[in-house]
Amino acid sequence: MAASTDSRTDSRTRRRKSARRPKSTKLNTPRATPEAIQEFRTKSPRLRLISVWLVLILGMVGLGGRLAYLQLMIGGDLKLMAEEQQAIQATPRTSRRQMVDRQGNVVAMDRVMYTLYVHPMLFKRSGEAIAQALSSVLETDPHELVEDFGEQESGIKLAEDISEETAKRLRGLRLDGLDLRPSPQRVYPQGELFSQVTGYIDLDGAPKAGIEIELEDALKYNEPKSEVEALQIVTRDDLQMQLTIDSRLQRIAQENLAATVAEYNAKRGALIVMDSKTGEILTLAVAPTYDPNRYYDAEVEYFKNWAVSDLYEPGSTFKPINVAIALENNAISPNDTIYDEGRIQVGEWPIQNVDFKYIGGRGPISITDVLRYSSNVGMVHIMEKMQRSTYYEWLEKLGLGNATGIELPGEANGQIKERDQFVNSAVEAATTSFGQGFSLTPLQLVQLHGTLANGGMKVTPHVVRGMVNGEGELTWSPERSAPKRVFSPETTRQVLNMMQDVVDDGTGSAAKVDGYQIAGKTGTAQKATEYGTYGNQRITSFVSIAPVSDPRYVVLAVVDEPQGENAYGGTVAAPLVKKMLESLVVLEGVAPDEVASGKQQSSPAEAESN
Amino acid sequence: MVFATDFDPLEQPQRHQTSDLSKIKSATDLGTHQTYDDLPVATRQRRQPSGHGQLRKGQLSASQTRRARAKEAEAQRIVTEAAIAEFERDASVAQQQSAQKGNAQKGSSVLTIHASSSTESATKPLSFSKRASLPFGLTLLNRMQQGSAVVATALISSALLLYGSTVYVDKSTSRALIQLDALQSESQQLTTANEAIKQSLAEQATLEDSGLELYEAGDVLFLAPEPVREAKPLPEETTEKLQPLGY
Repeated sequence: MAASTDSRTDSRTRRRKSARRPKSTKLNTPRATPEAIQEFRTKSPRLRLISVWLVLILGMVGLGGRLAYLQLMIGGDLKLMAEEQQAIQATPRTSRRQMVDRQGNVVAMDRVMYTLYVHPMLFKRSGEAIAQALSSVLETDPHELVEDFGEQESGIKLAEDISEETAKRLRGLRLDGLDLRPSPQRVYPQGELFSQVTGYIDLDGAPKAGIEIELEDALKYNEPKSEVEALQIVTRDDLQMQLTIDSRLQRIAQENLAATVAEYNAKRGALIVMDSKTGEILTLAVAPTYDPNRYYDAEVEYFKNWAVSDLYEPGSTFKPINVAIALENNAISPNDTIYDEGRIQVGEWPIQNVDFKYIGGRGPISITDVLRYSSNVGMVHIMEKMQRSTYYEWLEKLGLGNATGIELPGEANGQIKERDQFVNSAVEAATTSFGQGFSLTPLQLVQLHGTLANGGMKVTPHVVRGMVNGEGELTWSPERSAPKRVFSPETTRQVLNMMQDVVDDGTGSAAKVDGYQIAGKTGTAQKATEYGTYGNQRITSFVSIAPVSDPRYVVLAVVDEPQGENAYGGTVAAPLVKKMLESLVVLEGVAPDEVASGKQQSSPAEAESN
Repeated sequence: MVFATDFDPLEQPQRHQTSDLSKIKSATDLGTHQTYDDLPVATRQRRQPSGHGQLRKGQLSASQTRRARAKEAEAQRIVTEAAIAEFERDASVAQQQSAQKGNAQKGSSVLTIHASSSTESATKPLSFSKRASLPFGLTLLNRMQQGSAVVATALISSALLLYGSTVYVDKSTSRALIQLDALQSESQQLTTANEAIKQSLAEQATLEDSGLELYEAGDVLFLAPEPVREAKPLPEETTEKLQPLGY
């Protein structure tokens, strides 16, 4: 290097070169000579190594510190944020299981309904614009909406019971500040048809009346625990609660009962059909009734199913039971004769037949005639042949004074006199013999006549068949007591034959159905006033068992306080039962009594086809 | 640094040239501005057949090159003396001896090769019967390092898989739940509509002008089934064999 500079600047800058040399070694040459660099590098690789190591260590410490911060300090918050982000919010569509009727039609179901809240502080557009958009969907006045927006900054409830479609339209508006909260609401598609059986759910979601409150545990889904709510909704079963009620028969019963109650201006009515073989109730129609979807429009007293929770004195409809008791006890035999004076005095109480004024005493009549003409005096004489204590035991055995055990709430226990009072006083047994002086519910009377229909077994009437799954298999049914035998089949057969004459030729002839043998009994009982005496209001009833050749169904119609001159069991209640029976035999496929031989019914059909 | 396993004395002759070239390149790169021509001739000669593995690895510091050069000068002196003394002995014997002597002393074996190859004109191919082996501890550590590397790879890949699966499972679950929600909504709406239609049909039927009537007892026919007839035997088919008709 030195040689090259020398050769170039030799002549001119000799002085300068010499003066510059000490500087040039510093300026023109690099700061560090190659040797110096080598020196540095070979001398301290350790320094470089240590510095690299330090950098790496610092990085690791920094990362470790950040990790500790994230996990320990704000770990909880981050976890919450992550869960919020990840957890899918499942809309709570159902909180209770569905109820279906005998055929599988849905009687009660849940439906999701939205409540619209607005938060004006989150509005991106002006209140008027938003009010305009909302009013077109909600169909309310925009000015009212603007006023509502001025109330609070957030959490204003604008509308309730918004359906899914409307909610979709509201979401499609894409407005900030709208908040749709879903919640399940119970809906009864059949309206007032099943209201007395299902009950209703009030606006707060609490069940009231009927099966909703009685079997709430079976109907309500378990509350999902907060953490895995959405997944628990997946695991929900699709069980439905199946009722034994047939909605077609129920509809026919409800229509006709309402018509009869209106026609006779009665206070209320009930129409019950039970399958005595199993105790399943096919129809439980009550008038007046209410629409459970709009329960708030109804009177409070309609919420109570009076067929289950109100007591009444059965009157003459109880007479066949008494005859069965007497027959079973061998106090009488079916061919005995009873002397009917028409009017007797028991103790200090006069007892007379209903038609005593027109006919007077009938004299010696058969047991069948006692039932046919509904003779109170005859019944008194029949039951006199039994010891009162035995009679009382029989009444207890039949369950008078207790409830039937149906799955409806508020069932009333029947009332009978105390044993001492009954046994010691003749008039008690006398009045009981023609169905007064004690009380029971219409449902209990159906149960008692069921014992006559199925050959002497006392079954538990029930409206709930159980829980059925998607394939229709029964997975659970409520606990019921087993049927108990109270009468022998011969006794029931004899009583049924007697009852058949009532319909064929007696007070119940209005209930005759072509081609079928019907057994029945009318009942017209005087109602006790609030002062304890009997007023002139009646409670009319008609109970029927069909068909006689193969007894199965018990139909009871009760009409309370029908007005008018001709308001008796035979005129008010029996036609109602006839209409019910006609539909019943068709829908349930009850063969007419002549077809048992098989020939007569099929030959017209053959003749037609040939 | 050179790993003991990497060292293969059999390949030394090839490595010599490459190491030299790289070393020369590195020497110039250091900014010493020393070209190959500047080096003293003796060094040049000495550098060519050098077998030092460490020079192969690239850049050297100035002190290292000086040390190498000093070492080489020393080695050269010893070697020339020994070569003359042992030249009578068989080359293979010398190899065996060197092989049996401390194998870890790579320097000495190198020097012996160096001696035989520089003094002899015709070099026989050298073969070692035994490779240089390490102490047991190092081999064990080595094996452990390899094993742990495999395990680490496996663990890392499984960790990644698990993480991926959690994200995937979450995503597919939420997608399925959204689908379920939509289906439930649809089912609810369908059931409601179905029941509402049934209800309105029933209500219409009860109106007087619907043309529908209540049931009556004679509305249903009950037919008794005919008794089962025994199967009539089918007439046997008599297949007539047609006479061939000739026209």
